Amino acid sequence: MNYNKLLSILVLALAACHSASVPESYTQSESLPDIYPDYTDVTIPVNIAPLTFMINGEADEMVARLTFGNEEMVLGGDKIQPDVDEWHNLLQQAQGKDITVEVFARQGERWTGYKPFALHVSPDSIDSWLSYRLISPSYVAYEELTLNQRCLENYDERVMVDNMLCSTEKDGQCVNCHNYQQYNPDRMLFHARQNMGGTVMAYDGKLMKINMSGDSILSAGVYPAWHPWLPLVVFSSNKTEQAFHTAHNNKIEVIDTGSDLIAYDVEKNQVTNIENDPVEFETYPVWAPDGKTVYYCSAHFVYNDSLEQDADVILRAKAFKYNIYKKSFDPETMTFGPRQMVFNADSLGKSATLPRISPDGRFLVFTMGNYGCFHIWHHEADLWMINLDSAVARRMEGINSDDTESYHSWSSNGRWMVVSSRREDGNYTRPFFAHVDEQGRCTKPFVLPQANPEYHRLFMKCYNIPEFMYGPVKYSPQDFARILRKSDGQPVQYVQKLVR
Amino acid sequence: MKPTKHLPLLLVAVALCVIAWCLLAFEDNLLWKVQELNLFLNTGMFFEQQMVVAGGFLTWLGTFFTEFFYYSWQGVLMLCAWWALLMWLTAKAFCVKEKWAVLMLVPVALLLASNMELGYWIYYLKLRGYFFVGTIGLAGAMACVWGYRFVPATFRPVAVVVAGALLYPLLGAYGLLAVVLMGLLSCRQKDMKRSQKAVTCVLALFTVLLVPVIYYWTVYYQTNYDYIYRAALPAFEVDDAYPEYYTPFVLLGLFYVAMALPFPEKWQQKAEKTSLWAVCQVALLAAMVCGVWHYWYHDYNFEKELEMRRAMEQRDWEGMLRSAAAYKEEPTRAVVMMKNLALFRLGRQGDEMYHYKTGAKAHNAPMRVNMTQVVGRAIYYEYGQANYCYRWCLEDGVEFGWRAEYLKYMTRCALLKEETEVAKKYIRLLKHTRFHKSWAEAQEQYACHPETMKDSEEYAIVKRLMMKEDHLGSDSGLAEMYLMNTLLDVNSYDPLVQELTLLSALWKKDIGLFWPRFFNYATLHKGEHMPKHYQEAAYLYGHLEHQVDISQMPFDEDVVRNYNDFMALAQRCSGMTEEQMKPLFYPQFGRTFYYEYFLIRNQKSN
Repeated sequence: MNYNKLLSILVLALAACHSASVPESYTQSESLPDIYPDYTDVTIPVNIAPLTFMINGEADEMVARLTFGNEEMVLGGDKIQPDVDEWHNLLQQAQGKDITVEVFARQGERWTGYKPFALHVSPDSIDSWLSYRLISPSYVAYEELTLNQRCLENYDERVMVDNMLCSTEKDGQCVNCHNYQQYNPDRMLFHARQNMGGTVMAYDGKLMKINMSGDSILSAGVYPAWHPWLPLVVFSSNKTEQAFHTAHNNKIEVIDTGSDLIAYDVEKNQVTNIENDPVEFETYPVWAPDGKTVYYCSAHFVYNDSLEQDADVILRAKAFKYNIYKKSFDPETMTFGPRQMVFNADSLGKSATLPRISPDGRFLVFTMGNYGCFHIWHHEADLWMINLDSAVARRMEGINSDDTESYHSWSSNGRWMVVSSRREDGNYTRPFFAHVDEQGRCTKPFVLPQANPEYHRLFMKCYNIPEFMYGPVKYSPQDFARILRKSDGQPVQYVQKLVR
Repeated sequence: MKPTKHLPLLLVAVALCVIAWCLLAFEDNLLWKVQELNLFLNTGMFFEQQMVVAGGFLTWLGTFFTEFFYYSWQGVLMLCAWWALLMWLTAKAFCVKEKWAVLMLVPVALLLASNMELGYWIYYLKLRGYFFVGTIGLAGAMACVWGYRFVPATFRPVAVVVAGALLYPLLGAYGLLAVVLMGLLSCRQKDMKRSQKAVTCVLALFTVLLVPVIYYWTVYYQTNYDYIYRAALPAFEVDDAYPEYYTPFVLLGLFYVAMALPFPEKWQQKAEKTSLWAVCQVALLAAMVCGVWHYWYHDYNFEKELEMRRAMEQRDWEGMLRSAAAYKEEPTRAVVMMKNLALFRLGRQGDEMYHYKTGAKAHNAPMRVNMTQVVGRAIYYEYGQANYCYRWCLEDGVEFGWRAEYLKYMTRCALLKEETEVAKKYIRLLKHTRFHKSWAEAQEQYACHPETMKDSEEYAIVKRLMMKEDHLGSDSGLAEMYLMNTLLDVNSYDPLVQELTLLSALWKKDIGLFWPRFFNYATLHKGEHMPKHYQEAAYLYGHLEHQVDISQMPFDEDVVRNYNDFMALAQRCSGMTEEQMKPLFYPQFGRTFYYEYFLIRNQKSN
């Protein structure tokens, strides 16, 4: 190779490595930049991973200048992708204040400078890990399902459970409903259905497979809620079916044909019914942080004797209106009290699901839809909040969009909320985070940052059941697969009442 | 130089040309469909998604090359180029003399057989890039085996282990085959000591057994333990396993093992004799031709379905009817439905739908074939059932992997349902393909300017047919049954939609449902000639149940005459079974509703 050629290559390589700079001349626009994801004027936790973004449309090149005080970060290219360390350094300095972001875009030879926007850096940190299920927005079929965990401080994403390890071409396996006791990754559970199915529990270093189905309960445990400190999980036990809309954009209804509440003692491996009224469809239990109240949803539905039950629930799908109830619980005697109404959604002609209590016990956030219990498919579904001190319920301004908001979780410090939202395209669920202040006010939510800002647009799976965790689950997918493959599952013992 | 010296090479070249010609001449529609059921995206994310399983690199390459079947000559050219490379590498790896070049056609013939034996499996196979994966996998394996020969004898035991560790992630089972061949090849290496040969063979064995296990526990989390040795091989399993489809792969493995084994000197000397050589050449060629012919899937309905489906994609309704005309066998319901769709779109279904051969022949496949997977999505879409089309695209995309066809229909449905953001998502993905990019760009105009959809020949009519009333239900995978029952309940004053409800009533052969829809049709088409089959149904039902006075209705002369002749012949044939009557009635009445009503029954839809 001659030296001229080598020199040219070196020059080109150096040119490619040059740091970005703000264009010297540009046309100033009065509008905010149209960027994807929309991170304009969002409030972010001080420990969040770098927010990457790109111009939402045609641009040959872009430059962004992020400024706080004397600190400046200038980035360029076709996407803005800050370095993780530099980003965290900037956030640490700016906590409680704003980072100003100026965006410049080039089309042809012409640069445009947009109105700057702010990233409000909250000193409230967010739990460092988030887990979720990745599932295609399919109806009946499934193939690859994973429970993943993601470090929110960077882009480290790990597969926690992969159903393909236990699936064969003929016999598939579905994994779902991962849940943790008080954000603790060492105390968690998830269900596996069909091939090699059972409930898998990780409890202080012990990995178990439980077979929860039995004659005395409606079906196996489904939607779980760990007691805040006792080795106790309340589940709903549901029988579910699906039906498809011929014309409506909601496309699908997932309907319970029956549901009860059961309680499971992890250490004694015992289960009991706690609500099993046949005309009440109880579901979505959740514990109050004090461990003395369990909240849940229930719809009153009386079957028409002249119809098959499956047909009846489909024909009258819109009749399912879930209200929110609570039951007191005495941790000493393990006794549940009678149910009490918390929120009567039916009286508003609506249906309330997925109650979640803030860690300080002051707020209850739930999903409100027109009917039914599976609101991720309901475009009208929004988050509502009840102030448990005043019992006043209101639609949560700021966090909702024109499209679906459904599953949601509180961070352990109660200052952040993650919500499953389909606001981007109406079909693919993405986790959005919003800051919640002491008065229960929310800020504009931002989507889970990715190293490639285009990721959410190209990714064909949904983020299902986002749950915060203190740290990652230590077991590998193969560990979980081994326990699932190894045994049929320890059968639970049904008892009339749990005792300590 | 003897004129016959390069004859074997010439034979190989001619064979490749013949294969290419056969593929292009007879399997053009299949190749088009294969690429429609393929997806390659030029994104980093797509690459990463393929690499989560052993052999993922092969599927990435396989999907890349499969794209080129969009223009079948390009795809065939590439396939043949890969085969030529495979033959050359195989010859190099096993030091095959030019005189025996025909032997190199054996793997090509087996790969061709593995590709052409599929039939309806093209809809059900989950291995992406299937048409190229075997070829590229073997070519990669052969390149490594050839390279292995240059490794100094001392390092060969280590090379075997290293090759296993590197090749398994890239080539899956083909990488393991390469290791096996390296081990076997050691046995005939003259520069290796006996102990070295033994160590190499044992190491190869352990490498093949242990490397997949180690990768299972440490790297790959998406492969069931039962499948770790089959990475990058297809799984012919749906509800059951169909091991007969693995035969070409087993033979491929045996062929390569045989090539690697030491060849006795005595045999080599014998094989040098010209007469024996010639006999071997002819026998090999004959065996290969017979084998390929045996495995090559031939099914009239399958071929017609592909032909009609391709015409449907091009909205060539007349082309679809040309395919359906003069049908030589009993058609599948998929063919019947596509024919009806074409007639409906041309406004001729009421006059001509019984002019074509009807039937419900089961798909010629060992597994259960659902119409939803074959043409159901497209049929749903064309009849305005956007939700159901979208549903099956999603279901099948999840089950069998995303394919260009699914993404295109999902785009169309999203546009029709005014879900422009999700339409843009699919458009963005399709813009990362080589050959569907321009289609995606055309749809982008509709996503950005939805008001222009009304001027689109395609969307305007589908939009008219879309369901206005919503109800909950399920098709249970039975597309025709669901579609007909759904259309039956539609209330519309749109003449196009209303005609569909009348056609559904005819399909149902339900007299009570027929009359209100018939009168609605007559009202909406005042002054127009009543299509022949509707007249036949009215005349027949009027006589059968006497619920409606048909005496004042202006029936065409031949409608009345055919009815009278049909009944007269029926009287003469009393006592005969339906099967006995069919050949007697078909020549005169096969094109009438009378024949359909009395002699066509139990058309099992799927």
